[in-house]
Amino acid sequence: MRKQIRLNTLEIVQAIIIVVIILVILFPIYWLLITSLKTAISATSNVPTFIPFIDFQPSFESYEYLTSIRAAEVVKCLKNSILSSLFSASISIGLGIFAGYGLARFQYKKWKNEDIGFWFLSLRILPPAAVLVPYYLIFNFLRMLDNLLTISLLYAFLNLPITVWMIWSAFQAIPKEIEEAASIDGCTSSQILLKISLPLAKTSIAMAFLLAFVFSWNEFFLTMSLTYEQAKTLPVFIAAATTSPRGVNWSVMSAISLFAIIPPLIVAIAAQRYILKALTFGAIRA
Amino acid sequence: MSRSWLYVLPAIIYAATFSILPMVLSLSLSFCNYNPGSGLFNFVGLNNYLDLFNLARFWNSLAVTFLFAASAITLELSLAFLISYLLSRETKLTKVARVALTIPFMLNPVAVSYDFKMIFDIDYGPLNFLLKKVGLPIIKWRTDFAFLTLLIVDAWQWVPFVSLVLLAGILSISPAIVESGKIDGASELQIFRYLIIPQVSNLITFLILFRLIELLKLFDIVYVLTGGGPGISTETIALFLYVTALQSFNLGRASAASVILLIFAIILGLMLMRVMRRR
Repeated sequence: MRKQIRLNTLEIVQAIIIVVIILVILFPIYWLLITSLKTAISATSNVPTFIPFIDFQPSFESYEYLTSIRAAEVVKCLKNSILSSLFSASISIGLGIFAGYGLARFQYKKWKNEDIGFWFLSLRILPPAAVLVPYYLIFNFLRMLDNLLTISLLYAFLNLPITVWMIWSAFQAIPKEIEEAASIDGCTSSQILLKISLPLAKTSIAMAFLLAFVFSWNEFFLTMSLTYEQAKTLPVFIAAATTSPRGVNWSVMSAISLFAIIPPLIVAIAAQRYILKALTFGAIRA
Repeated sequence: MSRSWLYVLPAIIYAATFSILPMVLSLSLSFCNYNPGSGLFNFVGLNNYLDLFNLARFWNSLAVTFLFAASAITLELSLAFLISYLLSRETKLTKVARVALTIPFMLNPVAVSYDFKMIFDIDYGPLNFLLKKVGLPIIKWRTDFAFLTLLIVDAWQWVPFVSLVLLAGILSISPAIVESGKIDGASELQIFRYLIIPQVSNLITFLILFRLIELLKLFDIVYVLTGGGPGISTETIALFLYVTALQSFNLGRASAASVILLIFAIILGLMLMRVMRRR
């Protein structure tokens, strides 16, 4: 009987620790949300407030600012972030579909398929800082600094390993027999890809697209280094505004930062089952 | 060449253009002095490397990067062990926790850094408020404890990832192994230490290398939270490269540092590939 009770206390302690872990994870997100709902003055009051309506009166001041004419720059950065992430995800998915299909369906002789796959993977290891100088010089030479196309092409490159691997394994999961049957019926290999394999792999491809979108959306180092004004994205704007010596409007910057974390937040929950596998290149089968 | 190459070739060419070409350019430039403003360009042999090796700031950035990586990996793995152990049972609460753990490392690092900049704020931040409430002295997080502050933010983002990977490894272990331990009368902790950890040792090696490679790139949180300061005490190699290349415009020196960084990355990368192929 006593043992039974002791076991329960242990379980309660464990449950409490788990709840604390969840709270630690969620608090910063909650803090961002409530700070965005404070007025500029109440956000930096001497006593921080935590609970809307009880602690402080929520206000849409920061969001009104963001929809006012003065926020033209924020809107431009938001637009740049959305466009470059969409465009780059499309490029890396497009290239990834062909490469993934090739790796799943053909045997390459000179290099083995696995070698090609690991070569793509190895690109993830490349630290962007190590290629900063050449990128800068190349795009300067091409008159392509501060250009949305430039950063989109770079994001597509950075995401290519993940999209190739995800799509490759999605195609591998399709039984060969289905494609063979189509082939007997007289389909060419490109017809098989378009009409049969793609529809069967569409969930994985959609998830790869979402992940590529988020990783582009989050990119900061190269974007900041290669853009000044026209092609600035949301992270570049946030970093510049919040490290400026002129002081920061907490509620407005919180609202903008909230925009920056919402797409990743949605994808994190929607693509949950695919994220680990994608980030560890199949080292984990979640 | 067969037609099947047409499928993979576009991706290979695309990736090679953005990786091999700039790497070759980095290597060539590291033996030259080049100033894009004046157009001055000349071969200087190993001078950039000698110059770099005599530069305390370069060694500092390497020390900061590796010290941070070592601390972060130790901290993150330890916490992740605890968390993955707690979450290895299937209950409603652990399921909620697993969903929550998927979030932090996906979020925009710049926005997260700004968020923590507020949380760690000396005057208005909730953390110091809490310290005051319980009667502790307030802490100048980003100046007096810059390294620790960065460590906490990095851990907030990446402990969840490491935990989930370990958890996936633990859950893939055959229940028979755990069952045999129970029959032999091992305690839950003994089972974890002597039966489960050895089963995931390969995964631990993978995680250490994976995090090490990511931490070589450490830039975003440092840029926003400490700017490499106070002084250069939290300046990582990526930040050093950024400052050298785009603020001082010392492209030769930056290229030499790039080559050194590349060598580290390639060594770690080859080790990671070996671990992954073994699986």
